[in-house]
Formats: sequence, C-alpha cells, structure tokens
Amino acid sequence: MRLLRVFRQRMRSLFRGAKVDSELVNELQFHLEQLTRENLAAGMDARTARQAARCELGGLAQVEEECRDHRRVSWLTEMGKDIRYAWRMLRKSPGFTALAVITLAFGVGASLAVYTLAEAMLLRSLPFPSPDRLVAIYSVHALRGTSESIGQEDFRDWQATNTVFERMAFTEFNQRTLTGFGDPERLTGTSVSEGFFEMLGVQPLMGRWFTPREQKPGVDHVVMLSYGFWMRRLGARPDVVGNTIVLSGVPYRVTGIMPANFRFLEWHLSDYWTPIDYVNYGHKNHQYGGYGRLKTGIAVAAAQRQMSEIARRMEKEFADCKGWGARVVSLRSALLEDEVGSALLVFAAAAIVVLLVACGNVASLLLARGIGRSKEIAIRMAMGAGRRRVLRLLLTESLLLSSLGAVAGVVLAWWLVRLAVGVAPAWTQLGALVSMSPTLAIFAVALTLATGVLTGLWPAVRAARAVLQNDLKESGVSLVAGKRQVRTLNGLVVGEIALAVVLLTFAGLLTKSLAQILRADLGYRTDHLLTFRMPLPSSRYKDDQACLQFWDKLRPQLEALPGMISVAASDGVPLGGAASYNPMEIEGRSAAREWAQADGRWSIVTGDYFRTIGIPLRAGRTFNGGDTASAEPVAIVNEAFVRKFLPGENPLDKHARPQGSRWRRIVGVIGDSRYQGPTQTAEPEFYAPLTQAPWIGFVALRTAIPEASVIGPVRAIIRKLDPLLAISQVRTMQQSVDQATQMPRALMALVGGFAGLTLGMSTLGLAGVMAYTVSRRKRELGLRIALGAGRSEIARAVIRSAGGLIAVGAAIGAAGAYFAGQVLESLLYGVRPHDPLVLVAAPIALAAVAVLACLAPAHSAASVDPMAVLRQE
Amino acid sequence: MPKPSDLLQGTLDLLILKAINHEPLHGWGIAKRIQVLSDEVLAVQQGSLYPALHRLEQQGWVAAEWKDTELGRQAKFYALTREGRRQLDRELASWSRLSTAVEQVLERA
Repeated sequence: MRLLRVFRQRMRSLFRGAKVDSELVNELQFHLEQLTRENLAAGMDARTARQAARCELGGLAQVEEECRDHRRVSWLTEMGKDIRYAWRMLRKSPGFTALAVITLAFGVGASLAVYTLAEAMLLRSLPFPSPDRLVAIYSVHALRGTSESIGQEDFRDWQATNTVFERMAFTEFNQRTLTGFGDPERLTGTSVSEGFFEMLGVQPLMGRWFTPREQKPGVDHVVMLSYGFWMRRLGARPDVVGNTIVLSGVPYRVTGIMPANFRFLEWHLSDYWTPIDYVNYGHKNHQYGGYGRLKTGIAVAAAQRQMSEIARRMEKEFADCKGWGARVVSLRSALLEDEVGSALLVFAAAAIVVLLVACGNVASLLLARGIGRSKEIAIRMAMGAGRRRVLRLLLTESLLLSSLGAVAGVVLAWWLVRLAVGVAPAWTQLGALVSMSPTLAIFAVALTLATGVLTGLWPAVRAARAVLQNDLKESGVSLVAGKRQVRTLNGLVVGEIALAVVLLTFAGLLTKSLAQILRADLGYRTDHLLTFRMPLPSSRYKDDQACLQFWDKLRPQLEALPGMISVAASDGVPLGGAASYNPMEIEGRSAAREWAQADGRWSIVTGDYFRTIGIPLRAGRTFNGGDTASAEPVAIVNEAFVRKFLPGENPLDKHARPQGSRWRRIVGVIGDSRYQGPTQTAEPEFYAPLTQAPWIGFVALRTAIPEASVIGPVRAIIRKLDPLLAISQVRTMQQSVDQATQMPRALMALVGGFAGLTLGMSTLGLAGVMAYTVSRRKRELGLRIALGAGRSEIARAVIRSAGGLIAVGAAIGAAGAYFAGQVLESLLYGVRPHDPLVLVAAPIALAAVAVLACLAPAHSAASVDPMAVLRQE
Repeated sequence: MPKPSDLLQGTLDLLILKAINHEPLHGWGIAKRIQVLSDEVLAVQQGSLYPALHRLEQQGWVAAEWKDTELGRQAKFYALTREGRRQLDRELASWSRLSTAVEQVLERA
C-alpha cells in the first residue's frame, strides 16, 4: 500500500515534473504571503515586510532545489540535463575532447584486452567440473631445480602411496599417420593412462571412454577423436563411432568423439587420444605428463607436502630416484607458468600503466579546465545549485568522456586481442577461448565508471569547493596561480612521468633482448633451406634395409631437381620440435656422473646433413659412403660436446656413446648451433650416420633458388614413390626462426607502442601544465618584463621549473622500473632486468623529449607583451 | 523574549507528523502550530520545513491535497496516511525512549 503510494509519487515527479514544480512554487508563494501578512500586521511597511519574509524563508531557489532533491527521481531528470549539458560543453572544445577521448581509449582498450585474455586463459581454459582441484604433477630435478616430466614407475609408486588424490593419470605426446582418408596426414595426439577422462570428469559427445579391458596391452587399439578432427577429416559422420581408422598402419576402433569444447592444454594440440603403452623403465625415462584430481577439501599445499615426503622416501629406496623430488601445481597456475603467462603479465602491467597515465593526463586536463571555469561554477552555485549538484554536473562530464573513450577502447581492445591470439602458441587455443561474457561486460562498464570518477572526482571536488565571493570578484585571471592547484597539477605530471619511465624501461629491456635474439648466431644458415617432417611408418618400413632403400631411391631424385644444392635426411632438424636426449659416456671414463650433467642430444643424420643445414666442420671429416652398417661405428660431435666431456683434449678417435648404445669412434667435430632456437644455448651434440642407425624423421633441402618453388616437385616425387607417406611441417628455416621469435617480437612491439604512447601522454601533460601556469602568470610575467627581467631569463625559469618536475618523476620512475623489472625476468634473453644501460637511458630519453615539449610554453612565457598584459588592469 | 531554540536533529519529522495528527494543515499552518504549541520556544526553520514535508510525502507518510483556505486562496494541505500514523507511533516511542534516557542521565549524574 505504502509502496504503491511511493511509486505513484515517483511516477508523478518523473512524468508530471512541470506540474509538480508549479505546485511547489505556488506552495512557497503562499508561505511567503502569510509571512508578509504577519509582518505587515506587526507594523512594517509593505516593502520591508516582503524583504523580511524572504529573509526568513531563506533563498527560494535553494529551498525549491532541496525539495526537488527529495523527489528521488531528480537524479534521473537531472542526469538527462547534465548529460545534454556535458555534451554541449565537450562539443564546444573539440580539441580537448578528442585528446581526452583518445587518451582514455588507449587506457580502457588496453585494460579490456588484458582482461579478455586473462579471463580466457584463467576461466575458460579448464572446461571441467571443479577445475580448481585439478593439478599438474612434475618431477623436480634437485640439481637443475627445473620441473620436468615424470616417469611411469614413479607415477605408480605415487599412486599407490598417496592419500590426497581422488584420481591420477599420466599422458604422453603421440604422433601417428592417418591413411585411408584421402592424402595421408601426420596427426598429433595424446596417449592417456587409465582414469584420464574420469579424472577430468567429462563425458564424450558420442560413444564411450575406453573400458579397463581396452587399456590392456594387445587389445588397446582403440581411439577417441577430437571434435575438430572428426569434423575436418571424417565429415562429422556419426557412424565413425564403432568403426576403425588406420593410424600408422594399425587399425584402431573409434570408441567415441569428445565434445567440441573439450580441450586439455598440454603444450600441443590433440586430434585423438589412445591408451598409453605401459612400459616398465624402472624409475627412469621422465617423459610423461602427470596430472591429478585432489580429493575434496585437500589444498594444493597439503598435496605438495605429502608428495615431497613420498619422493624423499623413494630417494632412499631407489637409486634412480636420487636427486628427484615431486612438485604439485594447480593446473591453472601451470598454464600461467609458461611463457604465455609471463607475456600476459607484462601485457597487464603495461596496460595498467597506460590506463593510469591516461587517467592522470585527463584528470590534469580537467583540473586545468576546471580552474578556468571556476567563475561559471560560482555563478551556478549563486543561482541555487548545491555543491552536490555541481559535483554531479562535473562528474557527468568526465563520465561522458570516459564512456566515449570506452567505446573507442572496445575497438582497440578487439584489435589487441586479435593480435594476441595471432601470436599465442597454437596449443593455447586462445582464439577459441576468447569470447564475450557477462563478466567482461560488467568489467568494461565498471572500468569506464572508475575511469570517469578517477579522472573527474578530484577536479570536480576542487571546483565545487571554490569560494563564492572570491571567484565572483575575480575577473577570471589572478595575479598568480593558486599554489594548491599548481601543486596538484604538478603531482599528476610527476606521476605520469614516473609511470612513463617504467614503461620505457620495460620497452628498452625487451628491445635489447629482441636485438640479442635476432643477433644470436644460430650456428646454421636460415636462407635457402627447406625442411619438412616425413617419418617412415614402421609398419611398412619394417627394417633398416627398407628405410635405407627408400632413401637411396628418394635422394637422387630430389638432387636431380633444378636448383637443388644438397639433400639430407635426419631424425630431427633445428626448430623442428623433435629431439632426444641421453646421458653420454666416454670410453675409459667413469660413467657415474649425475644424469643431468651428462645429458647430450643425440641425432641420426645422413652425410650431407651438415652441408645442407649449414653447420661448419671444425675438425676431422663428415660421414661418407664408407660408413656402412658393417663398417666401424663412427660419430661426429660438436664443440659444446668436446667442452663438456673432453675438455682440453683432442676428441678425434676417442670413443663415446649415448648410454645403452654401442661405442662409436669420433671422426669429426662440427660447430655449435642453437638447435632449439635463438634463446637456447648450444647443447652437446652427438651424431651417428643414418647408414649405421637408419631412422628418418625429417628431410632438409638446400636450394639455389627460392625454397618455396621446389615444394611442389618434391611432393610429387614423394607421392610417386610412396602414396601413403605423409609429409608435414613444410617450412623454410627462416619461417621456423620467425615463428620461434614471434612472441618476443610481438611483445616488444606492444610494450614499445604502449611506452611511446605514455611518453607522448606524459610529455603532453607536462607541456599542458606548463602552458597553463604560464597563462595564469601572464600578468606577473608582464610585470617582471616591464621591470627589466630578461626574456631569456624568464624562459629559463619556465624550463627550470619543468626540469624539476621531470627530475623528480624520472627518479621515481627509475626506482619503480628497478623493482618492477622482475616481471620481465623470464621473458628477457641476454639482458638482465637491471641492465644499467637501459635503466639510465630510459629516464634520459624521457627527459630529453619532455624538455623539448616545454620549449613552446617557455617561448610563450618569454614573449609575453608587458603592454598588452598591463593594459588589462 | 528569549531566542527560539533550534530543533533537535531529527525531531522535525516527529513534530510535523504530530502537528497534522488531528487535521490536515498547510505548511504555514504546521509551522505556526508547532510554534504556538511549544509556547514560542520551538521555531521551525522555514527553509527546512518544505524539504522535510516533501520528503515525508515521497516516503508515503503524508498525503497532500490542494484545498481552499479560510482566506479563499488555494493551499497545499498535508494529512497523515495510515502508514504515517504508524510511523508517528514508532517515532513517538523512540522519542520517549530518548527523552527518558536523557532525563535519567540528568537526574542521576
């Protein structure tokens, strides 16, 4: 009943505003009449009576306004008015408006992009029930301190003894060739242990998971397919389930299709899942990904404690476990530990800086403008506007600005997100994870409001606090600018400069790092080199003979192609993603050294491999036709191998081997190369000739003509030789290198762009404040010049006061950059976060630009015309 | 004549509700009534009376109606609503609690 009455009142106030207002005026008029009548009765004359009545009631306009405030809908009607008014004010100074909107757009846009990406990576990357209970389990090598893959036997012991996990599972990277559906294709998948899907808690879209029986060796030729693969290669036919597909020559029965949104981010994409091979390697072979689902109520830290304890027990029990610990990390943190996470963090830091500087900049613009508008505001208050009302009006203006900025920011955010999706590694599936969400919309609106309040509140409070009489009396130009106002402006400018220095330092560090990466000597040539993956399926190339025969047929045909210089086959190529590591042993030396310390990469190559890739021979010879299967086993090592295993010795004719293989005589030494990419150091390498250990994974071609032009003929030759053979990863070495450096390049461009932006904003802000102070002090300056002050002296004084601000801001910024540099640590290559050159250069660069920006206000201060100024008196 | 006391914070609503308890009154009448009933001790700040009336109206405690005054001029008369009466009871109760407490302090201290 009461609510109804209240509602009726509100509606009346809202829609019959004019009538309600006229009633109010009438009501107050009646009161005045009564008062006047009473005064007349007391013997006053008519004029005094009316005046006394007015005095007693107080300001009519104020009372009316206060009554209107109580209608509770006034904010609505007034907001409409305020917005219209604010819009008119912004339209009146398009330059100011455009500058503020663009500035805010960058701040809001960058923050929105970061939020979108963070939400994608943190909230949507784990589409499983209670994802917080999912953890990754690593083996930790005590000596190296690195998190590594786990071993099967370790896993089994963990599983048997722990009490913290509801389920555990392990997985292995897996590749197979699909045949029988058009061109053969090399697929990437994952082998999973029993309980993997149950651990994640997902249901297949169609079909079912593997039964326990199907995961026993011998009967485990079953496969689950990804939705994407099923759509792409199998035409989304439902009858695929229950039928067989041929993977690497072996028929696999399809038991189910995973849902479209199923993704388990494992640093590679999966087209299929098969049961894992259970092999007892003892406590060696750390090559599996370990995962677990915590029991309800168990914290990650508690699980970590128990696992560490178990690992300590195992160290005592098994020799191979010595030096190995276990590490439990929530799956979400594990994703962010990657380079992607660090990049996101840097992006976020940069975005926050841009947003803060944008807010500071617009705030100082508004503040300077607000001081110039103090007279207008004083008049408003004299006309009956309360302080709250004035505050609201000014806040409306800044909120309108931030809203306009946000609209432009959304466009920028969209572009930035697209950029990020483009450079993120494919396994993150970032593109599929990014989406519009209600929380994103809420964040955008909240951010916009916060930005508006952040930029507008202070200037508005200042303006609303203005003292009436002073401002009315003042002709709008005071002799000297108010100390408090200038101090606030200065504070904002100092803050902006400090933040700009931080970002400039970041950009400098990333640029230097990128320069190091691009300058890094890879050790092989990147031009005119084409590589592709072509594993020979063991089902059809059953023995060494078959493999060698195929190569002997293929090689001459490839070499005969026009423009071909040399052709090589190997088990891996630089940046190809395949590598195998083993402990290395030297004959006659004790092999009891720490496994990790004896680690080396070992590889199988044909004789022309080094010439084709472009790795120079330093000593001895390369493999040749004489190194047949029946001849003496030989090897070639690189200089890093010699440094590590045979320091100061002549490596030639020494015998060495990867653990568990046969001894080989070292016949040559080659130069070092960065096999895993420009940011990795050269590792010890041990090569055996393909003729003595046949295994083909990759083919490399050096050409005299552009590499791309040979792709077609090469494919044709291979298809003629073996139509079932799949080739993939066809790319030039330059493409591989570009891909490997894509992330640092994108990050440098992004942070560099943001740094330039903040540099521009902060110097513009500084110049604006200086120009404002100069214009406020025109009369003082005019007086000084009239009294004989030199013009250059005045200009110098302006520059000096600007210099003070720059120095303070730069010092704070340099200190901030020193402490914030840690964020970058994992993304930097060949440069430390505390690189002295960058730490010094960034503030100096900023100071130089900032001083230049102050030349204009200094000039205008020096060219004040004393006559013109004094005439205003 | 001593200067009229300022109204205690928050008692204005109570006085207004009480003043119109028996018959609807216009703003001027309410001010006069409070002044007379308090033997000229309490003077309603004229400037704060109308905002208070409008607030009470918006909250639904009082209802307003335009009626002719004895002088033949239209004026806005305020009357208590049923909810207003209940609100008055509540305010009276809280007022007596407050005044008893104050008295107790004054007596015992």
